[in-house]
Amino acid sequence: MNSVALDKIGAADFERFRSMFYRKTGIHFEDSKRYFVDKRLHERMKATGHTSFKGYFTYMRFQASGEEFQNLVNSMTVNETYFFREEYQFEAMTREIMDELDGYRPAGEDLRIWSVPSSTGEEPYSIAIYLIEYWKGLAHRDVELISSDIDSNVLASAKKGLYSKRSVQNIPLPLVKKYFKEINGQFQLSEDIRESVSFTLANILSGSNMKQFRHFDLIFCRNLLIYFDDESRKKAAHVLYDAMKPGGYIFLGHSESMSRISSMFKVRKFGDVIAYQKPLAGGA
Amino acid sequence: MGLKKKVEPIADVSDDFEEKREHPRTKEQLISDLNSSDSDVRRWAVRDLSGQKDAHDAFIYRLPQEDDPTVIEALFSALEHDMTQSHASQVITMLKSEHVQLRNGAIELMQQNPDIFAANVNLLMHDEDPDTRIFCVDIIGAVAHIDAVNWLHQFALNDDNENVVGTALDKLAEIADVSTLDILQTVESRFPNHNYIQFVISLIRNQVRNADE
Amino acid sequence: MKTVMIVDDASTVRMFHKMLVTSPDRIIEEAENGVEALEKAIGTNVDLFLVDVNMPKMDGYRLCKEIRLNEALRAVPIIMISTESANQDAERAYQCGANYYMTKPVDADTLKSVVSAVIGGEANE
Repeated sequence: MNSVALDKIGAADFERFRSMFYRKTGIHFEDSKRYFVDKRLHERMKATGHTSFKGYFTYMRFQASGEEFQNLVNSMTVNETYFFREEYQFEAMTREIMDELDGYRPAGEDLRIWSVPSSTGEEPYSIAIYLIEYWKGLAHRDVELISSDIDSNVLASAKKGLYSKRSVQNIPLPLVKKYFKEINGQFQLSEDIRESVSFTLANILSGSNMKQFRHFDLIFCRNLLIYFDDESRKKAAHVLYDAMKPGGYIFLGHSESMSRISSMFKVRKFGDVIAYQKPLAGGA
Repeated sequence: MGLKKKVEPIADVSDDFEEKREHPRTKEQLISDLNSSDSDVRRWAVRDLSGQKDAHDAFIYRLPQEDDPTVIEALFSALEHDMTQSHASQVITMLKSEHVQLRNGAIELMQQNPDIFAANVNLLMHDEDPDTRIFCVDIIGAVAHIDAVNWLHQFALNDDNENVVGTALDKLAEIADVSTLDILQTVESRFPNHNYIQFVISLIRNQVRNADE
Repeated sequence: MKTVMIVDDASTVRMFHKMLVTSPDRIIEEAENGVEALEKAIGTNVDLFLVDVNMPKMDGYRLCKEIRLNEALRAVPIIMISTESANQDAERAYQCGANYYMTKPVDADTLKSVVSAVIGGEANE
């Protein structure tokens, strides 16, 4: 089959598409991202058998299942995992949030952190390293780190803790030397750090199974909700809300926002970093 | 002190969790929990009832009486799935509520259920309250139904209220097609001195004419 | 430079109001609903909010209350804009902390002059 020439996407069409995408996701594409966006639109046009953008837009906009729109969102979202990804969130955690949480809880009560999805472990282990390196409160307060994923293969890999050079390249060299052992071009995470994260299999949308995830002070739920449709996103927001103690915080991925999902959480900002807080008991 | 060593499997089970096991959580108990004075209990009851048959009626009944925003959100979220036409009429009455969150929840629910909305769109289009008609247009603006453009055209051509027409034009800015060009002149002449309406009409004309075919 | 944040779920209304109040000494920010407005406004400098009442997720009344609860933003003027013309809605807006209340369709000259009165400067003609 010959490849069919796809229409170039004109400025007016791009404008309408951009406006619709922003309305639904809160993500705004700068003009400078034209190439990136057009490429992916063309990929989806091809995959769905549309040569005209108008045809594709109509198909995608009015499809009752919303499946194609989700496919489009997925293709727009780059999801590579590596250590210290979106590091400014870990900074906000150790610089301000942990101290604030520490102030809420009585002495002796653990602070509990949940990282979901764990994927291959870079996120929960990043949290562990950051806490040890940068949060002084660890001297008087125990922290429990739990991480979940729906994929058991990925969990197995996370438990092993063996990483590529690419995965650790964002970590300052002294920390790489401190926490990893280089073996044949790969990086083995120290047993101490591996032992500090409890990994579990979980599907955040599975209903009753999720009820055992409770009493978290801090949740990292980055680049998960963006893959869900509207209905599932809202359900997930409730699971996350119920999993938190009052005053607890949640981080989403950098291109994600509660503004298209739920208004249950209080918007808080630490510098430029947005975190969402479950209201403290007795008030918003 | 420090990072705790992992435990497998996860050991913690909350006190609440155990407590609830002692009282058998029958459907009747859960429905009764919907009226608990504790909003956490109410929210958990909604979650536990989700997906159960006949729960929808209990949710819809509870909504107008509920004042906690998190429980209202939970109720609407639980209603999204498996909504039926009989529920729709009750949801539609919420469009007239004084309570903004109930109205917004009703709008979203309709947006997620295009066929049920389509069965009710004519009724809403002719509602005597212009605000209700605006909410109808808001639903159309996000609903995935192929008649959306036609409905918006009908509003733009026939509604007497400038804000209703303005809202319809705003939604058309996203989904207008060449057939919209045919009606714009008429709409323009209906509201000749209206700055915003003239602005959006001009915008739509440019967009549709410059769109690639 | 003065920053005006326009909060409305209708993209063309935002465009229209932006067109009316824009000027070289003003930065115009936009948000689609109250949650997004807070995400963008908290921790930044905002000199004036133009807030629509009916928005998804978080409506204008609630946004007003949240703005007034925020220490840094609590004194920022808020112009509430609504399609509802009943008097009690203006009353409600003031109770939530709005400083001005206008009904749609907003008269262009009125909007321009109120904005100029609040933050100074003049919109482009």
